[in-house]
Amino acid sequence: MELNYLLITVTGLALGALSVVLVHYGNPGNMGYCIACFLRDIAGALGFHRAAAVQYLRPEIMGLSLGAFASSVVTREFRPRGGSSPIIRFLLGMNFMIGALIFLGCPVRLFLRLAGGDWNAIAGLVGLVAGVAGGFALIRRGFTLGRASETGAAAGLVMPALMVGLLVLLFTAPKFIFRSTSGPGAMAAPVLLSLGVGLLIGVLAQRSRFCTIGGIRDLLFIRDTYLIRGALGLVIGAFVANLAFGTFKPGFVGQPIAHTNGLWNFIGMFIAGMAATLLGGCPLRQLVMSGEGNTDAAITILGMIFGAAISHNFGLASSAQGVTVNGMWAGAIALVITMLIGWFGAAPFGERAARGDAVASGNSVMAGGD
Amino acid sequence: MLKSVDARGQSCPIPLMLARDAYRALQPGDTLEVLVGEPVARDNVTRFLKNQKCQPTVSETAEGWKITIVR
Repeated sequence: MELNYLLITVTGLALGALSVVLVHYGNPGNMGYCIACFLRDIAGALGFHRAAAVQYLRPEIMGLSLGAFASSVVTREFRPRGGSSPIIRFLLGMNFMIGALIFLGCPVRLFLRLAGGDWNAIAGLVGLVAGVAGGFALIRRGFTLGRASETGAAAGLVMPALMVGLLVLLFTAPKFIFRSTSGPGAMAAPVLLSLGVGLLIGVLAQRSRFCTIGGIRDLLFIRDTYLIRGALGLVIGAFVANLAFGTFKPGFVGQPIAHTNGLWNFIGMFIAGMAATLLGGCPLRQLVMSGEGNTDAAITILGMIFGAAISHNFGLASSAQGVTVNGMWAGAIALVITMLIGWFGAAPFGERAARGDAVASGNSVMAGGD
Repeated sequence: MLKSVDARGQSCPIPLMLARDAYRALQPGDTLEVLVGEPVARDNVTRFLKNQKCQPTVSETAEGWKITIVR
C-alpha cells in the first residue's frame, strides 16, 4: 500500500513538472497539459469546428490514452465493458466541455494555472469544489448512471484504435487535417516530446488511478486522502518547475489564455465539476479509462469533443478577451441540464440497493440505506 | 450473519459508498462481502477496509473481485 501512495504523488509531480517542460518547449502558457483544450484542438484539426486558432492533433492526448492502454494490457486490467447510460454520459461530457471552455481549461489546467500564478483560477477552483459538492450531493441522493457490463473485446479496442488513427493523421498530415498557423493551436512542443510525455503520464495515471475530481470528492466527502495527493503533487511539481524556468508570473491581468471574469470562471468550473462528479471522474481519468477498454468513458470523450465543436461553432468558448454572451446563455443551459440529469437520474439510495445493488445471499439482509 | 453488496459495474464513488454503508451496519461476528468489477473499486474498498483496521481478503471472480471481511 505504501508504494501506491508514493505512485499517486509521483504521478502528480511528473504531470505538473513535465507540463511546464512542454510549455518551455512550445506549448501555450500554463497549458502544458489540458485535456479540455487539447480535445478542442483535436476537434478543430478534424474540422469539426473552424476556429483557426485552435486546430492541432495534440499528441499528448493520443499518448495518454495509448499509454493507459498498454499499461492496462500488461497488468491485465484491460477489461472491455460499458453500456451504463451512454447517451447521458455523452450529454454530461458535452456540458463539461461547455463549462470548461467558458473557464478556459479542464481541472488539470486549473491547477497548472494556479501553479503559474494565474489568480483567476482561484474563482475557478472555488467553482470546481462547489460543483463537486453539488454533484456529490446528487450521488448521495441516489444519482447513478447504472451498471456497466462486460462487452466484446472489439468494443474496448475502438478508442485505442481511434487514437492510433489520429497518430497516423498527425504524422502523414493529409490536406484535410487543419493545423493552426497562429494562436494557441500553433504553439506546440515537438511532437515526439509531447507524445513521450503523454505515454509516460498515461502509464503512471493508469497505475495510480490519478483523478483530480476524485481527489477533491474523496478528500471532502469520503475522508480519503489517497487521490488528492495527485492533485497536490501536480500543483507542487508545476510550481517548482515554473520557478526553475522563470515562468511563475503571479497576478490577474495578462495571464496566458485566460480572462478575468471571476463570476464566469466560477460558473464554468461549477458546471465542469458537477458534470465530472456525476460522470465519476475528471477528463484525464475518462481518457485513461477509455484506454482500459471502458466504452462508457469513450462515449464521454466523444461527448467532450462534440461539446468543443459546438462551443466554437456557436461562439460559446471564452478567449483572452473574455466570456461571450452566447457562452453565458450556453453556460446557463448546460448548468440546468446537468442539474436535471442529476436530479432525475436518481433513485433513493436505499431503494437503489433494494433493486439489486446489494444482493441477498444466504440469510443475509440488504445493505445500504440508513 | 453474511451481508453482501454487489457494486459491480458502478462508477466511482458508488462502490465505496455502498461498501461503507454496509460496513457501518455490521454487528460483531458479521461477515461482509463486496463484489466489485473494476480494479479501482477493488483498490478503494480494500483501502477503506484496511483503514478501518480490518483484514480484507480479495479473491478473483468471473466478473471481477470479491472482498471479504469478518467483523
